[in-house]
Amino acid sequence: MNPDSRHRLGLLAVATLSLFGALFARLWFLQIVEGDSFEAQAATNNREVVITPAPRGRILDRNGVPLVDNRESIVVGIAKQDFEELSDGKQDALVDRLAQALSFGKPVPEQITAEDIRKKLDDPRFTKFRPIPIAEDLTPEEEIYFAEQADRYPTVSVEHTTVREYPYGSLAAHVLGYVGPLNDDQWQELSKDNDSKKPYVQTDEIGRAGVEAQYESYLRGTPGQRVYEVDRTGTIVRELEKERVEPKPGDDVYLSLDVKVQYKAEEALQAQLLQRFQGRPGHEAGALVVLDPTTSQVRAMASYPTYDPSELVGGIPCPVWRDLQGLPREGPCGDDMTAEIAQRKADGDPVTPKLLNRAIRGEYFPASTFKLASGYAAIKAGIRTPETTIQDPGYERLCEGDGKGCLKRNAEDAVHGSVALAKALTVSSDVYFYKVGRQFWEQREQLGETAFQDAVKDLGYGELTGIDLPGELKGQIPTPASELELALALYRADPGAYDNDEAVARDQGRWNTGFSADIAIGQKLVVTPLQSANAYAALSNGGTLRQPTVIEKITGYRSATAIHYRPDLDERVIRQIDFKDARDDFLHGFQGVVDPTGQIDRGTAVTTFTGFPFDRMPLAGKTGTAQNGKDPTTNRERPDTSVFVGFTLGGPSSWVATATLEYSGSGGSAAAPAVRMVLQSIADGSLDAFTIPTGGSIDAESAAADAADIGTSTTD
Amino acid sequence: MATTYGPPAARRHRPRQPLTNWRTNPASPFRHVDLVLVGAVLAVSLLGAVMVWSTTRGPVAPYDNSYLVRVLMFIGLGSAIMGGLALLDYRKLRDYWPFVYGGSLLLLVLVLVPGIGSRTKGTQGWFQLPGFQLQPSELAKLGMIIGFAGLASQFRGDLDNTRVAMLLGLCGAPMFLVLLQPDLGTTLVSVAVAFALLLVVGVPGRIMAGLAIAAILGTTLVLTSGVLKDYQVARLTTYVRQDETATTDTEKKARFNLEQSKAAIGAGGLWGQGLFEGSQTNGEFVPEQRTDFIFSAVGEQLGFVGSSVLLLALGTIVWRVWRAAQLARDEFGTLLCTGIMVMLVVQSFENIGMTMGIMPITGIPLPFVSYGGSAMLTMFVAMGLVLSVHMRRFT
Repeated sequence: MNPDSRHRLGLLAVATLSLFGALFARLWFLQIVEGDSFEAQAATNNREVVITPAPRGRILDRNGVPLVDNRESIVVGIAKQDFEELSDGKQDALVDRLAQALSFGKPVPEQITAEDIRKKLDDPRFTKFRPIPIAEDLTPEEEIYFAEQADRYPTVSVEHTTVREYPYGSLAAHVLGYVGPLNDDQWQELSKDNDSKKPYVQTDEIGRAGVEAQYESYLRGTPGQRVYEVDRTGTIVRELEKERVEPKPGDDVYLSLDVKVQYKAEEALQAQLLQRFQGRPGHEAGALVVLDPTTSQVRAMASYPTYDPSELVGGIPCPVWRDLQGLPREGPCGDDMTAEIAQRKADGDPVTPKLLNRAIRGEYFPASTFKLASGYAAIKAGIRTPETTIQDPGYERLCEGDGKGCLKRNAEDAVHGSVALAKALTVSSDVYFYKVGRQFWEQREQLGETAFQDAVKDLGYGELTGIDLPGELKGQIPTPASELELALALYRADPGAYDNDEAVARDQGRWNTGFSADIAIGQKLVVTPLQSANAYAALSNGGTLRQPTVIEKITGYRSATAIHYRPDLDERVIRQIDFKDARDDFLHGFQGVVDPTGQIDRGTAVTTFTGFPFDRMPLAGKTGTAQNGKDPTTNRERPDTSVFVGFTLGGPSSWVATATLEYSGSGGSAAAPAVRMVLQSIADGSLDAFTIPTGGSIDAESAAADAADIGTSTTD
Repeated sequence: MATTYGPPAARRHRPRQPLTNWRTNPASPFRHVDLVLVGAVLAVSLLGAVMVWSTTRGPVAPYDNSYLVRVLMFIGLGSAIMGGLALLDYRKLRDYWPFVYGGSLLLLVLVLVPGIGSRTKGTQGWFQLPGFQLQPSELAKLGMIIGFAGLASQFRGDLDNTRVAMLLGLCGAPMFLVLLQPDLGTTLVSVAVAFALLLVVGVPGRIMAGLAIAAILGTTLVLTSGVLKDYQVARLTTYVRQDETATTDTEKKARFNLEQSKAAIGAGGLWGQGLFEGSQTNGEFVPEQRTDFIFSAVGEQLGFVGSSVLLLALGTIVWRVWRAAQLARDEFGTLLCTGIMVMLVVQSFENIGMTMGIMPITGIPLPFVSYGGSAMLTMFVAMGLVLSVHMRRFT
């Protein structure tokens, strides 16, 4: 070989080496320098993460009695990917066959049509990597049928999932709340910022009310995941088993509620409503709250009318939704329903919604139960001492003339004579408090225009209690400014009603002595039953106002000792209330309301509490009879709303209970008996031996019959 | 005088040559078998078999082993052919090259005849044989190298313009026929091989420069003339504009190939995702993966380390072939090995380069690794020739 060729072969070698060098360099760049980004690209390319749902945690009462449990449901589903690979004819045949099998022997409304199945299969919310659920709650027989006939039902699978179960039916429904499928708005919201620890998928359920909503982050289980490798067409190639994460159930929430007290509270509320309600039949409504005043933990929270959360599992059908609004089950939902509700209101026949938790969202006149706040305001402002006595001739004249606004009278025109704070509470002297209100207004120069309103806020009136339940309302304590604003707003909405004269509206909205006198006896202002209970709790415990809570503790799933959260009582203190030297007079005065022993005067609820075991449970309380004014459609005086707050004075355990019964008469006739029914069962020990009937069902009639021996006080 | 018949006395008394003389004769070809080359070839082809298996067996049981079996069959057959050719003295080819070359040209012509040759993906380039598809363009590359080496060695280094033109014509004929299929990739490989052969055979530098310019002009002409299908042009040009958005469908398709291939290789990282664990591979995201894009499977599953091992093994083969070219006893052997070496280098570089986006996408298989019988057998034949050249460097 000539030397030139040798030289030229060398050239080739150099060229070859540089080519291989280039390959190495490129390889290095792709795999080492940019490897991570390519790995990520490949991962998004062909990995499909499927979230596997985890069971929610349970909700139990403070003693560990499950109120919301999980039960297994047999679900039949269709694997969509495989289904789509079937020929059209086979798809149709399968859907028809499945519809028939699922509807066999069932009444028409429960039947599943081929159309229903098609609809579900086309629902874009379902991921195609998990079977699309077609029907739930199959019987074990049906499960066996599908297993045996598997070859007749290709792509059909039967799985077990957990669904919410309510061992006590509707008991505590308003506290527990309910779960429902994510609606579109929630999903939009969540997809913006989906919690990476407990991510939601579009078909998930979420707590929609009550504790289920409030403690969603605890109750919700941690979803597992299965990672699939998919090919270019999106078909699953295999599961990456080492990346599988098993779902973890959510935390158990132990409520501060005692299921027996809760049962008694609901029973008492219903029994008294059954007996005393005087409003439109079928519109009975009310609330009963029981607190532990030392901690402001809720022991029972009853709201009526109530509902069965199990009807709401898996989404609310239209008839149920209408029922929850207080409408007949038959009829439209959506905008038409909204219009129907508005029409009913305009016709003077407003609906009585069942979902409303009246304990925290019902705004009622506190009536005389507000005298705690008025008394406190007077003491705080220094316009009264506990010893200050006034003369109560049975009426108070605020202005000259015979107008009703000028002459304010006691209930039943009672004359109480010389009255100091304690007696004013015991006998519920309106005149005593009219004068308090009047003095606040007359001395507004020194005290400030809203001194009264500001003072009652110390007790939590007019502000949110901060209870750990969603949707609480704060009531309304009117001030001269708010009253004027209201009048002007009304004027702007309908100037004709004011002769097109703003001055007329201003005149009507002008605060006067009468307003101050009225709010001092708990009229013309609204509070929630929980606010009342909490204010009395503060009095009872010596002056500490706390945020109420419905939670005892939150633990790991089925492991009561692994505590993940416990409300911090110190953190829940809102403020310390200084009753000055008047606390004993308050207690004494309220004690006289129910307990005649050692009292000069007979209290307003003494008859109701005759025979109550005061020796075991020293008790105090306050009645309230709220006047509801005239019904604008019938122009007849509406029945009074019955209000009562009771609280213990020492004893082995501390309790505050407040009842508010709409249109049920005086405080002593309905609300006080309801509270007595609850507290007496605690006091006499009958509650310990009590077992709740299966399903938590309440027989209001027999409970009312049992309570027939409770006397009723008819005065305020 | 009596005439005695029989072998002459001298011949009678000559000691008999042993049947095999490799123990005693230091120049015996069998003492000079290039075991490194044989080892490297077997290593690369077996690795290739595993990689083809990984792209075809499916990600979950039951696995499809049919491709693996076929590849192993071809490796077995190829090894036998390689061995057989090594036994054969390559110099016999020097005398018969016109038949080899002419035969390969004949096949290239025949494949263009509809009915005899068959068309796949727009290229008229296959003979549909029972159980086997023969791609004559693969064999033709080798035919061209043998033809060139044969003709050039007859010139004995004495080149004038006419002879250079003859050599050019010899190379041009198969290229033209392959281009008619059209199979641009193989043509380009042939161009590179011919260029290297002309260089080594001693064509003067100015002619080489002129040829280079002509080649560039020719490529441009081919790209713009419409001989190639749209998709072929798109595959070629897409790598130039990797960061732009594709505008046409054909360009999108070509871009998709490249993106997926790059993603697969990049995802391999240092150590790779593990054999049979490549998600791009398992999801069949890389089109043509068992053939042209086999390197993406290597990159994804075996990572930088595994890919480097493959590159080094391929490099070892190239090195041994280059060494054989250096050591060859005659110019015929040198040219034979040079052509084969350049064919190996160009195909490897082009194939691996295109999977990583530094070369245009053409349908060129990766030697010994890509699935495809014709290409694999051609390579084994070539290795047989190289072994033959190498072992006979002293005889």
